[in-house]
This record gives sequence, C-alpha cells and structure tokens, in this order.
Amino acid sequence: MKAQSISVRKVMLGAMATLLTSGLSTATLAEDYPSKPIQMIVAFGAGGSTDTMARIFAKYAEEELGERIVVVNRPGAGGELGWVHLANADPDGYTIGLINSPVVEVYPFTREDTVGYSLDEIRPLANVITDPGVLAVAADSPYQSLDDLVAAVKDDPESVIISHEGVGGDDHLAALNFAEEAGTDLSFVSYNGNAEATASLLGGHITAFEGNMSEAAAQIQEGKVRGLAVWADERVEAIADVPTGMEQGYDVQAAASRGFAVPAGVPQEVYDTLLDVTRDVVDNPEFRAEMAQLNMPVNPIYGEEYVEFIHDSHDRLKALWEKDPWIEQ
Amino acid sequence: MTLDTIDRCVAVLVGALCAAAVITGLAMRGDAGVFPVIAGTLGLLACAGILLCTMRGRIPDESPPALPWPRFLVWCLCVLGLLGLMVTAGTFVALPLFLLASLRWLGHLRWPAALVIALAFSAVIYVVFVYLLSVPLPAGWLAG
Amino acid sequence: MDVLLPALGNVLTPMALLTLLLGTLAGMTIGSLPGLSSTMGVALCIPITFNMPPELALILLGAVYVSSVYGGSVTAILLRTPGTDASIATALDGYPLATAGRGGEALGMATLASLFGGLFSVVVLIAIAPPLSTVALAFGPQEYTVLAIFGLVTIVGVASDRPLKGVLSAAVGLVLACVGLDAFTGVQRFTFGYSELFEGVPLLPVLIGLFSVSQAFNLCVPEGGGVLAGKGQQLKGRRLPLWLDIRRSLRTLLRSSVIGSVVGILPGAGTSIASFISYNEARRHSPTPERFGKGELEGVAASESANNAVTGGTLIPTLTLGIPGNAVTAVFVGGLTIHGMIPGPSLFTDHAETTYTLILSLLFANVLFAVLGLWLCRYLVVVTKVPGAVLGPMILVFSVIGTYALRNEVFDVWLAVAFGVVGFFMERWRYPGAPLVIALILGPILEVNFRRSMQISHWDLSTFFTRPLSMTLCLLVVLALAYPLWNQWRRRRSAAH
Repeated sequence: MKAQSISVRKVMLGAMATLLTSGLSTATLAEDYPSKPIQMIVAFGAGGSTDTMARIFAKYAEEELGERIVVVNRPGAGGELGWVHLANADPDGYTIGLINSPVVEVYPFTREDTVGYSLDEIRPLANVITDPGVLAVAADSPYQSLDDLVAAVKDDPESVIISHEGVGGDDHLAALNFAEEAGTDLSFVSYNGNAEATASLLGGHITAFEGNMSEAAAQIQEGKVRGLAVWADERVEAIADVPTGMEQGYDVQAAASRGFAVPAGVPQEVYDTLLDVTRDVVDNPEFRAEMAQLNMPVNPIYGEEYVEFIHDSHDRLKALWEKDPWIEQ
Repeated sequence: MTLDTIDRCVAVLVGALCAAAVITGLAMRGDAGVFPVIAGTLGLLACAGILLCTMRGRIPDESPPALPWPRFLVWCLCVLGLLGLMVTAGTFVALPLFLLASLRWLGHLRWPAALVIALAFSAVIYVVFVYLLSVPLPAGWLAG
Repeated sequence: MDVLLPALGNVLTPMALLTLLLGTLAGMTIGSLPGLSSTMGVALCIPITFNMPPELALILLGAVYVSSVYGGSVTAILLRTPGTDASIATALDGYPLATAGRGGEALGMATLASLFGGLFSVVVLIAIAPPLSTVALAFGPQEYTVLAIFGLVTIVGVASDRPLKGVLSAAVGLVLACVGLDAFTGVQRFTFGYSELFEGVPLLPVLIGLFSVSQAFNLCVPEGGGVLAGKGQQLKGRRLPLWLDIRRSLRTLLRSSVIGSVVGILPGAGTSIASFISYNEARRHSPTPERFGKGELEGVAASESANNAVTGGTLIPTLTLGIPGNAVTAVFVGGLTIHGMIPGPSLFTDHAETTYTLILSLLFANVLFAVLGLWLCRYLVVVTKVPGAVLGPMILVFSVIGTYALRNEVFDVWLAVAFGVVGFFMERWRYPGAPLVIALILGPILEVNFRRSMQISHWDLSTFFTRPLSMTLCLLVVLALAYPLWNQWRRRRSAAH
C-alpha cells in the first residue's frame, strides 16, 4: 500500500518534471554518464559499519568516475526504507545503493503484507564484503569449543544463553542453523546491535554471543573474548586462531554480505560503467588495506553472478521459511 | 468548557485507546503483548484516577485562556500549506510563501518587511542546510 | 601519562585550534537551533572529517559533540524548544526565568554549570577511565530494567504538580514505545502497515513536535504573544548569575556532575535520566523545593551540569571497551573506525597520542564554549524580545527542516506537526509533555531489558531482588515513591502542631 503511494507520487512528479523541462531532460544520455553527482543510498545510519564501508568505497569510486558521490543515509525498518527508496529511484544511474544480504532478500517474504519493494525492482551490481558469522564467549568462560557448549546445553538447557542481533537477522539464522546441527534447542536473547551484547557478554550476563566477524574481531584480538567458531568454509585471516564450524563437525555457513545495487531498468551501458568502476575500486590495494584494517573481508562477486547469488539465497531462505517460519505469524 | 469537562473527555478517550492497546496486546503471539498490556493498564488506571478526581467536590483548576480560533485556524492553514507545498512545489518555494503569509497575517508586519524577512530567512536555511550540510531537502518541481 | 605532552602539542597547533573553534561554533549553532540535535550534528560532520587527518577529525567531532549539548540549553531556556531530550529538564526552570526577563542569568548559570559538568567528566575520563569502564559491565539487563523504572518514577514526580496527569502522559509514552517490529518475536505492533514505524515511533520528531512545534503554536496563536509579552515584562539588567547563587549551587553542581558521569558510563541509559535524576536530587536537597519548576537557577544548574557530565561519561565505555554509550557516541565510533582506530583498549596503547589529543581537546572545547557562551549571552537574550508571531514561524521552519533532515522522511515531518498540535493542547490542559517523551525513550530500554532478564532467568521474577546491584536500585525506586508521601505527611504534621 505504502509502496504504491510512493510510486504514484514519483510518477506524478516525474510527469510534472518532464512537462516543465521538456526538451532539456532528454539530454542526459548514457554516453556522457556520469555528468552530475551520484547519490549513494545507505539503508543504515551514519557511522554504522555499512555506512563506513560505503563512504570509503565512495572516496575511491569518485576518483574513478570523476564525479561526486553523495552518500545519503535513509535508515529505518532494518534497512527496508532505504531499499524502498532505491527501488523507486529513477533508473538513470544517478542513484545507486548498498544492499545487505541476507536481510534484503528475506523481507519480501517475511514481511510479505507490508514490504515496500520487491527483488525485481532492484538489480544487484556487485558484492564487496562478506562478513562471516562468529560464535564467541568471554575469555574467562569454561567453554573451549562448540562441543563443550553443546554438552552444557544438553546437560542443563537453562545454563546457556546466546545473544543475537534481532529476529530474522543473519545472526539469528546462523544461531538457529547451529541449534539444528547440534540437535538441541538453544535459549536466545535478542540485543539491538553489537555494543550492548558485547557489554553483556563481558559482564558475564550472557553465555555466548552470535555476531559478525568484523564486530567481534577487535575484542577477540584483544583477548577479551574467545571465538568458538567462525561460520565460514575456511578460517578468516583476522582471527586465524578461531576454527570454523566445519572443523568441529557443525556444517553451518552464515555471513552478512554488503554489496551494491541499482534500480532495475538502468541502461546496460551505465550498469557496465558502474561495474567497471567497482572492479577498479575493489582491486585497488589502498581500498583493500582500509578494509583489512576494519576487519571487513573483501569478497568480490560481480554482475550476473551476484544477481544469481542474491536470488539463490532468496530461494533457499524462502524454502526454509515456508518449512519453519522463524518469526511467529 | 471547564477543565474538569475536558479532563473527563480526555480520560474517556485516552482510556478507550489504552483499552484497545491492552486488548490488541492480549491477542499478540508469544511475549510480544506483555509490555503493551502493562503500559495500557497503567494508562487505564491513570484515566480512572483522573475521572474520579473530576467527580470529587473540590476547587476546579482555572480554565486556560480562551483560544483565539480565527488566529489558530489561519496558523494551521499556513502550516498545512507549508507541508503541502514542500512536497509538491519544493522546499524553497514553500518556505518564503509560508513565512510571508504568517508574518503578514499573524505578525501584522507590513508587506515589504515581511517579504524581506521571509526571503532572508529562506536564504539562511538554504545556505546552512543545502550548501553547508548538503541535506537533500524535497525539491519538488524545482528538481526538473 | 607521558603521552599527555605530545597530545597537548597536537591540540595547540594553529590548525587544531582553528578546527576546535569552528567545531565549537558549529556545535553551539546546531545545538541551539530548534529541531537540530547533537546526534545530527556529529552525523553531519562525519563526511566532513573524512578527508582530515585523524587528530583534526577527532577534535572536530569532540568539539561538536560537547558544544552541541551545551548549545541545546540556549534555546531550551530562551524559547522552551529543547533540541534533545538532554535539555528538557533545563527548560523546566530555564523558560520560566526567561519569561520573567531573567534569561541572561539563566543562560549564565547554564554556561557555568555546563563548563563544570563537562570539565569534571573529562578529568574523570583522563584519570580513571579504564577502571571505571567496569561499571558499564556490572550493569546487566536486570539492573537496566530497574534503572529505567527509577527514571520513569523520578520524571513523573518532577514534571508536574498533577501526578495523575503525569502518569497518564508517561503511560501514553509507554504505549507509543511499543509501536514497531518487536525485536524478540518479529511481531508488528501498532504499525498499521507503515514501514516508517517499523523501528518504532521516531523519538526526535515527537520531541520536536511536543516542544518546538507546540511552542511555535504558543507564540503565534495568541494576539501579541511572545516570550516576554503578556505580563509587561522587561529584560532585567543582570547578565550573569550572582556569586551568591553560584555558591549555593556548588553542591548541586558537584552532585549532578557525579550522577551525569556515572549514568553516562552506562551504555544506552540515556542522557535524560541523568538530568532528571540530578534535577530531582537538587530539589530534594533544596531548602526551597517549591520554587523548582517556577524559575529556580539551581534547577538549571542541576540539569545542565548533569547533561554535560554525560558527554565525558559516554566516552569512557566508547573509548575503553568499544561500546558506545549513546546514539552520539555510536556515530562517533563510526568516525573513529573510518580513520582506522578501532575503539577498545588499543586506543590507549597503539593510538594513545591521538586518543589523548581527543580527550584534551574536549577540555579546550568546554572552556571555549563557556567563554563564547558567556560573551554571547547578552546578545542571545534579545531573542526573547522578538514578537511571538515572528519567532513562531521561524521555529516552525527549523523544526520542519530539522525533522526532515534526520532521516529524509516526509512522514516524520507530519508526525512532528501532529505532535505539535497534541502538545499545544496538552499544555493548555496541563498535561506535562516531558513524561511522554522520556517514557518513549525509557520504554524500549525497560521492555527489552525486562524481557532479556526474563529470558535469562527463565521467567523468574526474583532475579530482580537476588542481585545486589539491582536490589539496591529497587530500594531507590521504593524510596523515590515513598519520599514525597512521607514528606507530605511530615509537613501536614508540622502544620498541625
């Protein structure tokens, strides 16, 4: 309902704009792209990890494009509002945005009745960061491995409390996946963001913390927190001491990915230009160095491959959801 | 209307809303409804308390000064006009018009004075928000 | 501590001092414009700091942060349009002073109190930040639950002499706090399908609506309205508070600074808890509690020293543990990470020089805004003489633009205006607005921590009474509830004799 009213307004405004400037507005063609500043929509607040990555990317992309990139924060509804704006933007290449997988492909079915965009309205461009999930305990915790933790749960289900960052987020899905692999039920407690959860973990109020590598890495490197497992197919450089779930016999793979997307309907030449720019930035060693410093693992997936990646993930999660919804309806 | 009558109306109205919150809360899945029920019940209790107080024979609070309805309506129209124009015609069409209208009709400034203030203030807003802070204010028709 | 000298050298370069001055001016301006907040100020500065060397970037962010909290007091006092929840308590006594023509004195007191609170907390930050950070960890969900209840009880008691109306206002705030996607179950509560409401009723539009927009109504609607108008009031000559007033507020300043620093350390507890608890304590210890809320300088002192003490306090867990204390410092963390400084203990080892540059620059920023503030007081007060019908439209424009700029949503603007109308009538009918706003802030803290406690204890309510810290806080709640009743009883008894 909401999406409709937005797009109706857009169409009306677009029509008016065309009437007012008829003859002039047709001049912006694909060959002289870009000829004016580009808006980059970030669906989360300024200063967050998505925003930080976007701004660093924008800095390098500006050099490549020779045009300003204006980062616009449109936070709200766990990213949904930003993606509604991205989906409804003019497909002229002057609006691009960041999408966060898996949440971006999950909303269209978990929020089926209210969601303001569909995956068909967004064309994924390239993935840049893949931030694997991490399960961690405080350094003074008695649990040394996933097996220890599972044994404790089986012994006394109430003794282990695991935090995640919001129902239906990638942390929650990872933790559910782990519970399934371990063949037990886990007690969860939900935190809004990594800061409060870390405080609770360090203060001994919860047993374990499920989050993303980039958030937990600093505390793990400091030795305040011990990583029990990283949910990736191989160990991660920044926290090389932490074994993968696979190594310990738990087949769990989970990650939060951040990449770029454009509104569907962007001219192919513009799409290709943006794709080339993304390639150049991602291959830039300075950009890589900055990402490494922030503990954000670069994992480029370009063009059609990325589109497929998002759609595969959507289909897989949707099947899971239909089998056993993780949000109570 | 005395303040007591108003308080009774407020108590009944807000009480009804709180009751609605409690009922919706009770129907929610899991423990999602616990807090709406607690908050709604607190509201209901406060409404009941206020209602009882107005029934008790005591010196009622003095009434607020009379509301000058014509000025109130003009002001509301100005504000609605500002919001309506902002999203259609654009922020920098709406701002000077709103300022001009309210300064002229509510502040009784002379036209030239109202015009100067309206334009100058709009310019300040433009410089601060668009130029210095690059906030993408609604541009409306000006965007073309 | 041998890192302090090179850090001092960093602050005293001409470029750094210029950044400090610009940051302080920008912060004061952003803080004092109705509708703009410190979170927004810091967020808006992040892109600017992007191409600066880390030291300068941090000096800029720090200066904007502390001075915008101070700047909020200016409009809270002179126009009753607090830009953040931190200055709502300031307006309780500041605005009555301004309407009586004593705005200059109130501003002077607010400036000195802000300076005192700010310096106190920075000194605490330099001296004992790492050990103090353990306080942040000692607070678990149980403690936050009881702290939020304590805050609510305090605010209802402070905000109005009609407690039932205060309770109703707070209850409405609590119901509004339920709106949005429930973080625990994903259930949509009272969203009516608006995705703008999924993350809850946004706080700042409600705050701006209830205070700034409704104040624009107050100023515009009555014929010949205005801050000073109506009672034939004139600006009183006095520009600064009397030494006598300052001296009798010293204990309040110290107490409020301690409260502010401690509350600041607790991640997510909220600045408004600190200023309201301090205000309540000042009233409780005052020989003339009945003057609070009607224009008592000590009330301004209590609230302002507390909210500026919070600035240093929030940076303690931010810098030592990497756990931001509030929304502003969360943005701050983003600013740090952009420059490759991951908040945590390494800030005090690997990046010690830059970190101490930031901390020292906070000291300088505090002094700088105080000097600028005291000098500007006399000019700023003049704003109270401007006719209401000229001031009102301008306040409304700032509110509308400021609300929009928060997250570029027209929806929020409509929300602010709607709450403006509600606030206008609430004030006429003597329903206090502050409990509603504070309940909207504390509601989610109360709810998520209550439910977290229940998840951790598996629905055992005794968990609140078996932990020493949360038990102590429970006793404080009981005291806060019982004290006014006991006081009344004592007064009635002494009147009977």
